Amino acid sequence: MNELKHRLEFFSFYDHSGIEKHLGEMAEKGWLLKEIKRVTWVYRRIKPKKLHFAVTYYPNASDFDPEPQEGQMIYRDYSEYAGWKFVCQSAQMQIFYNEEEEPIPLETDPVVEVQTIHKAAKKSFLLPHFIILGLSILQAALFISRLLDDPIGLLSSTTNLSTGFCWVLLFLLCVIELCGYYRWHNKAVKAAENGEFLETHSHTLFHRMILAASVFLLVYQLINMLSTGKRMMLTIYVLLIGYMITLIAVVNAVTQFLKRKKVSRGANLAVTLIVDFALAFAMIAAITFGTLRASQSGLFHPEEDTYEYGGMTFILYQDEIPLSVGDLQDIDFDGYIRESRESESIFLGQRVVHQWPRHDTSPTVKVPSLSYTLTIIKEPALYDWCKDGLLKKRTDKAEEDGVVFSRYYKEIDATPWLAKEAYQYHFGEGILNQYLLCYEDRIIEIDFNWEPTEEQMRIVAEKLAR
Amino acid sequence: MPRPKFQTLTEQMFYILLCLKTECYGIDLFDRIAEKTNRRVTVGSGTLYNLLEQFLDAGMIREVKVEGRRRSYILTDMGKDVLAKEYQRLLLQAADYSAVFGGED
Repeated sequence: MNELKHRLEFFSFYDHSGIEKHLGEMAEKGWLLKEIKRVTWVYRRIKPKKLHFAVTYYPNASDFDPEPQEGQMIYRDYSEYAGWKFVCQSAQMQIFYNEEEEPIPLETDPVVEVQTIHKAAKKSFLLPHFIILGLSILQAALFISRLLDDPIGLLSSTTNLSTGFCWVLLFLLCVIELCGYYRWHNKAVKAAENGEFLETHSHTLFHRMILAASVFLLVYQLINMLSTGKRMMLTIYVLLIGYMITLIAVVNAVTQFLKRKKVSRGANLAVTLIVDFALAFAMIAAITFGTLRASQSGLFHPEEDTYEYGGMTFILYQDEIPLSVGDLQDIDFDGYIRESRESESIFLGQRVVHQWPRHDTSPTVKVPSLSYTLTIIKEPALYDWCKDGLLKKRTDKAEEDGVVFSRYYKEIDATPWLAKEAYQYHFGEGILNQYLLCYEDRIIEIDFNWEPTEEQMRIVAEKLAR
Repeated sequence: MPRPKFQTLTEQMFYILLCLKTECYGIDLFDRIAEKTNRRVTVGSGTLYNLLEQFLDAGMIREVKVEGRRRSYILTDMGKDVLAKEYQRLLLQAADYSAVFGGED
């Protein structure tokens, strides 16, 4: 029979009423809180009994204190004298229990209680929540800006969407926590003026939902990467999860080690911060450098050949592509790279394809090359937005030899392309062989290094628009 | 709107200060208040600790002895003034009551 039980608990920092009630229920089931760890709360088995719990706050305490401050110990002495036994503390939160049937509460003055909680909250609850709220608003602004600037790039990537959703979850968490706190605090101040205590409201269900959504996102991302076979992205994803776990574990271990060595609060905080930043920087650098080197050496594409050119290693991609130069014209050249990159979300699917000669092909050899981006719009409501986004993205001004040229797509006859709409790219007075083609559920942007014939346009439509 | 600090005293504040007319250890205040009020007024340990800290910060009491974690306190002149003002306020309240209901007993 297990004597210890570890539980994930979902209480807000200030939710003393919720915690007291929960601990009382656990004691009646035979479990007494022993310790609050970084992730879980640890309970020890006891004979089931009715206990009264009190959660109080000591604003000057910190997680980095090597041992309880003298004031805290005096507080505990007073409490013990009044029959309240100390259970454990977590930063500023102190938990006591009392076995008497009707004990004198630890807090008998509601004004003092509210003031103490607010003082503690200002130090360790409100500031970090406001910082995360600010960051999530900044991320939301960046997300919206990118959504307006490059809707296809954003909406076709599960990674981008998941990251955005993670920030939405953090934003919601901060809003609920901060609104919940201020709502309680304002009412508690008024109640205290009349000599009344106000209980806090728990948001445990909301916290559980946030955790469930986060786990769902992690798993969904993992499945998405496994199913699309993106070895490099999958490797980075796993490394980043490992990075987060290692960082939290190491930083926590450093703090606990320094506490055991009775290092002062300030020194502990400084060393922990330095280790945190140094480790984060070193690990991100190692992941970036490592994956870059692995990618360059073809480690993520073991089935592909590589070749050397200009002191660098290039992968000789030979991916399956829906339309190749060979489909459009007879060509006797075996030095092509065929590269296809796909991304997909619930809104959009995007496939970027290049068929280029190898870098080590002699400049004197002129071979046709082809690039195209196939965007499949799963949600029809997004069609015009994506099309307009692409047209806008390609409209700009470029300077060449001091002369400013406009670059833009101009509508052309869509009939040869069997499309709904067709556009051709213009560079000043010049016309390029780059086209934007609109079909029922997809938009194709295609770039030839030759002028396509009507027959070739029809083949493009047959190969890519179906 | 919150009241200015210590402009009026709660019953618990009043008795903590009253019991510190003579030097007393913090922990002994529980018994002293209970004795003085015949257990009518009780102060929670968290409230007692926090109020003693607030009174010290406001200069209404001062530490007399520090013996490890045992500390004794005594009322300062400022504390006596605050207590006296509260007493006057209570007297006025009592007088007002008497003026209204004085003859009914």
